[in-house]
Formats: sequence, structure tokens, C-alpha cells
Amino acid sequence: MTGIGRTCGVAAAAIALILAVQARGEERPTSTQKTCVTEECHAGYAKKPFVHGPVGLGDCKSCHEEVDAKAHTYKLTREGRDLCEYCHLDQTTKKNVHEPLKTGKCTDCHDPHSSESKAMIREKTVADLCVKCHQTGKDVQFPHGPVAVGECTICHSPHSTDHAKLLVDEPTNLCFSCHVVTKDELSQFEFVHKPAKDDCIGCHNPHGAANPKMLKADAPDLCFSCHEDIRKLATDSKHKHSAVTENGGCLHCHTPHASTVEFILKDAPITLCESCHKDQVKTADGKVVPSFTQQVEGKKYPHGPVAQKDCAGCHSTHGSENFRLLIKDYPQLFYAPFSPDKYALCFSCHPESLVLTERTSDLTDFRNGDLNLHYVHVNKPRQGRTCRACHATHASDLPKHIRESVPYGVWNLPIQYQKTDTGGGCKPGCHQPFTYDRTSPVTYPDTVSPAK
Amino acid sequence: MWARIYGRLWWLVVLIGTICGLAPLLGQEGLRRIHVGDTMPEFSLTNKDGTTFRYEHKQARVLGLVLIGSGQTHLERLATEIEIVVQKLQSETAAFDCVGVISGSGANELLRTRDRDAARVFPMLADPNFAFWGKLGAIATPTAVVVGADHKVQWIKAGYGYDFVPGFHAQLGKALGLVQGDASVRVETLENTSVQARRDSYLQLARTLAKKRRLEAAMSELERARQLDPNAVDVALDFGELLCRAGKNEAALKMMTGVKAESNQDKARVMLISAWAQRQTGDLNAAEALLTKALALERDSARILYELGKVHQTRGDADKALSCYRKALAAVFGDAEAVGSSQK
Repeated sequence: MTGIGRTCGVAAAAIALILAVQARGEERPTSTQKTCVTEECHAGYAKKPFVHGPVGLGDCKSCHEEVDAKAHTYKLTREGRDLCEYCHLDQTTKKNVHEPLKTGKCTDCHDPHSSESKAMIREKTVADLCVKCHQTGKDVQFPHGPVAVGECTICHSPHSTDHAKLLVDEPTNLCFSCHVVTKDELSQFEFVHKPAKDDCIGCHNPHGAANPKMLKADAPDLCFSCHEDIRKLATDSKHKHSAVTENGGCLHCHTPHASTVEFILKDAPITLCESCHKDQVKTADGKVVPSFTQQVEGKKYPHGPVAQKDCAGCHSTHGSENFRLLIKDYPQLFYAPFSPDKYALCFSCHPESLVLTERTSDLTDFRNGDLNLHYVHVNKPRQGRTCRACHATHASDLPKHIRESVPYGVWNLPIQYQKTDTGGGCKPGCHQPFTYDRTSPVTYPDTVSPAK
Repeated sequence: MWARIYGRLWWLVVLIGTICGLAPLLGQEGLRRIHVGDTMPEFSLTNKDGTTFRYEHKQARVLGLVLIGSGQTHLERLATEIEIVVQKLQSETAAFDCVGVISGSGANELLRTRDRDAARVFPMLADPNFAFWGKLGAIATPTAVVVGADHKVQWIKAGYGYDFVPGFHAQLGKALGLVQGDASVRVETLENTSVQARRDSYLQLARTLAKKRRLEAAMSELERARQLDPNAVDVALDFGELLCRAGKNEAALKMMTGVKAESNQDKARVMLISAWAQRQTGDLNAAEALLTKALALERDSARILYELGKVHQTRGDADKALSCYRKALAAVFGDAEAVGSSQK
């Protein structure tokens, strides 16, 4: 062989040897070993803080069965879940099973050799592990506590459970396991928002949300998602209430969880209304709503609903087809031809017989003998006096909240109503002074009779 | 002379002041003819189907009366709510009467179509000609009246406001002796953003994390709880335990010195945690002294006995340690003899 040929042969042999050594790594044992985890081989398998039992004992054969000692090849002693369940209890006994477990892929989540975690999971934390498949709760502005601390297993079972979505308990029980005070307090309240009782995730995203308190949406949109009827009223009515439709709407008046006040109001209705209507308010279409508080403050005789602090007695808070958000029809003017329909608002509390009955001794004390003076004033085909002609809508300083004065063009004509034990009288600008008495009826000549 | 004028003026001022003071009440009359404190008049009403109700003074029974107009808005809802109130009260107490009176021309028709079971619970009577309405001097409906067993009118309320039914319920309860003191409706809401609610949710989360050995995360949650309520004893005690588990003994001891425990249980727990920290720092005598004091407060505490056992074990005194451990097990399982014999 020539010198060049010899050199090439040696070089080739050396290269082959190097490659062979590299391919083999450490020299493989060619006979059965007592343990596989040594400093030279598979050392990494036992380096992490938590070591799987068989690895710690050096009993690799628990899971790996020798196929060919010379070739140093092994196979798993059992397939899939069977291998793990040989030692570990069956984790699939419940109704809903986590997918990796269902398909026998325990090692998708668990490292069978050693781990940074006592639960032998493949990642450092539970959150790091779950996020490999589940993107829920990632990058939300307001995360739920368990999500923020990266501990999905507080709420979800990683193996199997009888509850949907692999929850460890029924959803509401689960929420109350941390939110204990809320659960105790709810039992003390008569009026509870239904989702607060048994469907917290109806409003709250359990992983987190872009809205504070992890709400799925802002009020009123969130509320409208269930309360479609209110949404229609609020958005489609002829007269809208801006307190409902603006951002945060419903929560101006309602509490989302529980209250001692019906309709889970935050306070007595009048207190809520006065938070805005203490002062004059301008509506969206430029109309001015006078201050309610100024109308009632210090007045001796409030109208019933005002005395009961119940503005909803007359007003529809969400929206209305009637002016001033009234719940029913009511004449806007001083005079109106009488028909019961026009006075639907008043007749929802006061009987319509009050105006329909000419003679009575039961319906009202506003009578001259048995002549019903409400009938006389209101029940006219052309110029019936509407209730507001005499009564202040909210309150006044006169008995029966009779108005102190009536507007008449640019004037305010005093009514000067006076009540007696058996009757009363007034000296308004509308007619000459009249008095009435239930027991000794006052007689007037026909030409000036109030009945005309 | 001036003194006399001054005296008369003074009485005038007092009179006006009294009237003004009473004025808010004057405007709130629910009935024209009957007032709170009056004797409820006897009455009797008969429906078209022959049903009769009599209220008579010879019977000492509480009466709940609800006047309703035949055109009443939300009539069905009102009737249902009153039925619920009646059923609740009937389950708690002896008999009382609760009736509704419907005034107006539609009264008979309304009663004819009424559900029988509902009518049994909350019977209603017809007043189509407003005779009863006039007798009481009703102004508007609904109006509720509660009359005590002594026939005195206890409460009148007109208007289906937010506190109409709750008020009726409370006042009937008061008349029946079920409610003591103030029976007025309180206004309260549940906003689970109270300090206590938030603090407790942090505490619960910390406990859950601690069970999962997420000690640092658990301590972060407890730190948040402490920021909300720095004086919370339960938070401080949980925090102390976590600090001991994490080997932060100095911090645990410092925390325990700031705890203002009031109950014996909490005091014992403070001593236990301090002893735990002392043991871990090697001060076994101090630990033993604290645990002995703690045992005086909580004689059967398995935790304290166990910790005392650990102290003895650390000293190398196996007999004393075993004795403490057996007592701890007995405290949990309740059979001291069996625990002792199982070791033989």
C-alpha cells in the first residue's frame, strides 16, 4: 500500500472510531444491571427534588422490562394506564375524566422519573403545566385568585370528578368554599339575586375578566343579557331614564347579590332617586326636571307614595311611554275631558268610583252632604279639573296635599283651602269661595252651584 | 303685663313646635276613620257564595287585614306575597286571622276566579259597594292594618311600597309575640366587598394553598389579608404556622408577640406556634415551657401534645415522646388504652 493510501486508511478508521464512540455515548452495558441510575448513566432521572419511588429504590424493572441485555433494549412492562395503575389507584372512577388520563397518557402531565413538584408534574408549577393545553385565564386584567397564584387544582380535579368541567365540587359550593362570608350573609337576606344563590358564573368569569370583579361584561349590558324585558323597556321606550342606560346603569339602584329591600334595591327607593333628583336634572332632549327634594322638603302633607318612600308607586324607573316616566296615563294639562283611561295612574290606587259616583257617603270625605265633590270637579265632558288642579303631586303644606296655589298663565292663584271637622272650603282664583259640609250640606242657588 | 304676654307667646311657640313635630305623621294617615291605638270596630262581611268573616271583640285573636281595590295594580303578586307571609307565620304560631277585603265593582268577579288553595290560606271578602271602605275611611289601596289580640290597632300602612309586605310580616309577627323589639323594616344590602368578606377569601385561599404545600403563595395571600385587617387573630395564627413550616422561625416568633389573643383556644395556639418556632431554633426548654402552659389551657389538644412529643424526641427522650404521641392519638381517636396496647 502506498503512503497516501495508508494515511487515508488510518484517518478513515479514526473517523469511524470517533463516530462509533459518539454514537454509543457512554459505553452501554451488555448485561443485566442492578440499577440504571448511576453517575455515568441516566443520572438526570434522580436529580430533581422529588423522585418517583421505583427510581429512588433503583428498581427500574418495575416499569422497564429487559428485551435484550446485549443490545441494552427495554420495553415498558405494561401499556398505557395499566402501567401506572399497577401501583396507583385507578383515578378514572368518576363520571368525567381528564382527557390525558382517559387515553392512558399519564406521562403527558407526570414525569415518571423525578420532578420539581411533589405531584410529579412535568412543569415547575401547575399553571405552567395546564397552560400547555388550556389557554383559559391567560393574560386577563382581573384574574381570579386561584388563577393568579397558578393553582388550577384548587377548583379543577386533574384526574376525574363527578362534576362538569372537572370541578371538584358543584360550582356554587365551590365558590362558597372560599367566599364563606358571602354564603353566611346570603342566608340572612330575604331578597337574593338568583345567580348569587346558585350560579355565580352567570355573571362572573371564574378564571378572570377584563372587567373589575371578574364580571363578564359591564352593567347594564351584563344585566340585559338575562333581563331582556328590562332592556326593551330601557332602550325602546318613548321616555328613557338615563340612569338605567348609562354605564354602570343598573348598579346605581340595584345590588347584584342580596338586599332586605324588594327587587334587591340598595336602599329605600326615594333615597336612590334623590341621589340624582335632589337637584334639578336636564334630560337628554334638553327638558328640565325640577328638583324633587325641593318640592317635598319640609312639607307637612306628602302624597302617599312619597310618604312611603316609593317613587315606583307612580314612576316607571326603567322607561315609559308616558311623560315624566309615569307608570300609567295621566293628563298633562290643567283641564281635560274626563275618561277613566286618562286617569289610569291615579286609579291604580284610588278607586275610579271616586270620580264616577255622584252621590256617596263612603267613598270620600270631600262631599257636601252626599254630593261627591270629586265627581263635581273632575267628571266633566269638556273642562274636567285634573287631579293636579287641586292636589300637589308630591307634597304640600295643606291637608290632603292640596296645592297652595294653581298656575294660571303667568300668575299663581292661591287656593286657600281650609279643612274643618266635617268639611272644608277654598277660595281659589278659579271660582268664588265655596265651602262644603258632610253633615250639614251647604246650599247654593242653582246659578252658582258647584255642581254646575 | 309683659310677663303675661311673654308667657302666652311661649305657649304658642310650644304649640306650634308640637304641631310641626307631629306634622310628618299628619300627612301619613293610612285611614281616615281609624288610627293606631284605636279599638278596631267589629265587622262582618259575607261573600256571594255565603262565605262570612266576623271580627268580634269576644275573641282575642290577632287580625291582619289588607284592603285591596278591584283595579289594584299587581294584585296577583300582592296576594301571592301575603299568602307566603301567612304560611310562614302559620308554621310558627297559633291561629290568627288574616283576611283581604276587595272593594269595588269587580270584587265579586275577582273572588269567583280565585284559586281555592290560595283562598284557604288568605281568604278574601268582597266589598263591592265600598261600605267597608267607608267604615274604615280608606283613602288608597292597598292598605294593611294589624290589630293586636287586645283589639287595638297596632299598625296601618297604605301603598304597595318596598316595605309594605315585609312591614306587614314584621308587624304581624310582633302582634303574635314572635318578634321582639323594633319590627320596622331595615335597609341592608350584601356587598361581598366588605373587609371581612375579602379578608376571609384570602384566608381560605391561603389555607388551600398551604394544603398543596404552596407555602410562599399562601403567605402572600395572608399578607393581603393582614393588610386589610391587621388585627385579625386568625390570620396572624395561620401566618405564624406557615412561617414555622417554612423554617422562618424568627419571623414566626415576632408575629406571635403581636397577636392579641382573647380566647383560651387562641392563646394556646399562640403558645403552640411560638413553641414550634423555639423548637426549630433549638431552644427546647423554652418550647417545653410554652407547651406546658398551652396544655393548661387546652388539655386535650392533639397538636400541642404532638409538638411536646417532638420536643422530647429532639432531646432523645423516646419514652416521654411516645407518651405524648399516644396521648395525641388518643385525643384524636378517643381510645387511649387501644392506642397504648397497639404499640406492644
